[in-house]
Amino acid sequence: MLPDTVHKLPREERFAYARLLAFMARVDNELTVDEMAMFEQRLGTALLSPSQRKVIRSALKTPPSLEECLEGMGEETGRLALRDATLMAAADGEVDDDEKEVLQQIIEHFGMAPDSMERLLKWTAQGYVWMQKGYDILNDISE
Amino acid sequence: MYLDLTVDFAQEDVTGYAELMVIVASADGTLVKEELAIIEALMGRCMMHPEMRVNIRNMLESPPSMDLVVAKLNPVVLKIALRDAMLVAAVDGEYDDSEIKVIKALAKAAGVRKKELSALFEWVKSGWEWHNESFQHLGLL
Repeated sequence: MLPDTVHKLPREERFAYARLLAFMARVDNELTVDEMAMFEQRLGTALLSPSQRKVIRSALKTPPSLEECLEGMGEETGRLALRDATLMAAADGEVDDDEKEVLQQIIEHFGMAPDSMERLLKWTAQGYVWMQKGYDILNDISE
Repeated sequence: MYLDLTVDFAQEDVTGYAELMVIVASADGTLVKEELAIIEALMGRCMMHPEMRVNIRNMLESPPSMDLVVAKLNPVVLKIALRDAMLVAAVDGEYDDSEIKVIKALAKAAGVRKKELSALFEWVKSGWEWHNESFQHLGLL
């Protein structure tokens, strides 16, 4: 929700980004409300057209393979998708082994540093702390 | 863990909340792509129905009156709307005077005092810094 660059990617790259997130959402075979809310948020950020969103939502039911998602995907798109896939995987409170395996495959596909996943998971946890702080301020107001 | 309170808002509250985002985004008379993207993200986060999103997009050209929108919302919705309106206002890199005016009016309506409003401004700043760190981790800087 903060200043991002996803919306600046070319249209087809934004679509590829969203497709990868759709794949990620189904990795552990369950789609929680938390993950869905994060998924919808990221679709919004990508400024996809309503028809593209429809296609992406249907990809949730029959997700493409990871190889299909990554094929031809640009470097910047892949890295941003990796970050947001991490946020989505952590949205329900834990990142399971299947999800970590996919994140690692994306990291290797784009030749990123070996500690990338660790760093992104740490960054994600810091982000959730930040979001909670926003609530804490609002709660203080109510007291 | 991630779920935001906006997911549980009643339909009329979600509409009012999104209308306030439109009001703050259009306050300075120009609507940049970053503002559009964050409004779409916020509508997505509260899982607003696609048809309701169309109605909100149509308001971007002529936003509703803030007084009318505020009058129909309860304090909880107003507080969450204030928090997110500040994110919308900040997204293009700076707070415009007209955006600050809307934020202050919204804070007043929500019963938020100056001290807490300052804390929220700091919170936005720290979130901005946190988000920018992601580009370092991704090697995109």
